[in-house]
Amino acid sequence: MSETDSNVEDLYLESYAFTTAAAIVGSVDRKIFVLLRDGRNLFGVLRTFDQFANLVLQDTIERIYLGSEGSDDLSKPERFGEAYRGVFMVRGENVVMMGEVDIDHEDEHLEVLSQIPFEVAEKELKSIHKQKMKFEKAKTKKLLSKGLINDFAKSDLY
Amino acid sequence: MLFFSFFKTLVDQEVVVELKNDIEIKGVLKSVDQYLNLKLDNISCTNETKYPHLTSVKNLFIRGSTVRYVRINPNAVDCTLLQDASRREAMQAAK
Repeated sequence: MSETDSNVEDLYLESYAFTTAAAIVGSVDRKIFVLLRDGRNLFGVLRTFDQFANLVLQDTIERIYLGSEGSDDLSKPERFGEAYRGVFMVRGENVVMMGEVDIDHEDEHLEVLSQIPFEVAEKELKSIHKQKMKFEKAKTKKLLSKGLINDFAKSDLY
Repeated sequence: MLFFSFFKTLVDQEVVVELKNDIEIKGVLKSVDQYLNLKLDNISCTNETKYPHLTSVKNLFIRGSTVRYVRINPNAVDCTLLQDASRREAMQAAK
């Protein structure tokens, strides 16, 4: 990066100290990952954004991590599926977290996982989500009968 | 705005953020904005492997609305000052 480039960024950071914009500006034109509220993992190049963390991603890949076959435990990934998605415009409210990916090490964690076709992974994930919705629905009902509220939004599957 | 100011004093401290999906992320707080969106550097995931790609992630921007707790070093908090500030803000609001 040339000296003028970094100066431009410094100026920007100073005039927008501690805003959403200042936090994301350093990741523009870098490879990032985004976790959405519906549980999707997107990997792509961040092209632009605004103060709501609305994002535009280019050359996006969607990846699904799954546990071992027959297991619905997502916390111990053993398999993954991925698909090319192209350009994505993400509305900020759906973002859970996003981060810059170290492109020298991004594939290291995949080496211990086995790849399966995306369609298979998608189908499996869908049934896991369905089960979770069913579970949460029952939980909401039970809690409600005791006068309590279940802190779960239908779209929160991350 | 009290908590925004409070979080600003925590910049460059190590914090642990627990999200609503139960994952915990440790990192150095780099910036915070008015929605309490957080930016962490040098992150590590302490309890979950649900998102294995986090090992290759350098910095993380977390949307404030998905945060459940932020755990901070007790030495980094001046409770008397915080109490004073919250009283002052409450008084201002009552006026």
